Amino acid sequence: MGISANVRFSQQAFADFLKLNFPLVSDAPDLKTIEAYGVLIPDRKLAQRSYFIVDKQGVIRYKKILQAKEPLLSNEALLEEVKKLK
Amino acid sequence: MIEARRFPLISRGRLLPAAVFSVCSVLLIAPAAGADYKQVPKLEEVKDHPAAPDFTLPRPDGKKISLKDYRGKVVFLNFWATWCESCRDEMPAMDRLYREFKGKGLEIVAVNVKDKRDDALAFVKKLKITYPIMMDPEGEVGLLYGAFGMPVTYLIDRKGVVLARMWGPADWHSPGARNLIKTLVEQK
Repeated sequence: MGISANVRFSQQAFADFLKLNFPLVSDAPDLKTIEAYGVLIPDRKLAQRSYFIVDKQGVIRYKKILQAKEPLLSNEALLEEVKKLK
Repeated sequence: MIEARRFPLISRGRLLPAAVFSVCSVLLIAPAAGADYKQVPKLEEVKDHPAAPDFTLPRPDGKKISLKDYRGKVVFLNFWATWCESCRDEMPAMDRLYREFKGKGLEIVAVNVKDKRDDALAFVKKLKITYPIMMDPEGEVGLLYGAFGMPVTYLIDRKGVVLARMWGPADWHSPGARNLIKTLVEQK
């Protein structure tokens, strides 16, 4: 699941453009979820690019918040983190 | 958050009238019924036909225009930039489409994304474009409409409902495109 501050219409265009197979969720306009996860950039009203892995009990087991210009995590690195949950 | 679609619970005794009402409702409100979007290759009908988000942008002369100002007309909403060669390729055909249908209910709203005003004006002057352009210097409206690459075009009906979207260029004065626009502007 991908969460951003973009409005639903924009997210749907993004998902259609990239032919995404996972859901995108809009946190606009109040940005409460982004704020609750501690990744809100208040002056820009955007979310920092970040990753959270939540286990079946709803517990956050991994988080990574990227700083500006920090490279994205690879899918392999994320899958390794998921495997650690087992 | 994305809203889950909810369907009302219908008791058995009310099922038939409700079903008839639903069918009638669909027939009455279906946007652009009869429009064949496949007449323009790669043109995609936008599922669920959302309302087009409104925005306000300046024209090159500084006058601000909102999308909702065009309510009542079929809007051809196009995002373009001077660096975009595909935009240069499709814009003359767009202009021919505009000149053919502008008095018949079509309006072209061509949003320039992130170019300098003078560069955009020189570009349309060179191509002899007659339809109006709007300036989106920060690219915010482009982002809203998913103009990640350009051109991107949306077809919006007279009520402000998004009908279809094209990623990339098209021959907008082809027989298929002209027939589609004719169908859309003839629907009141």
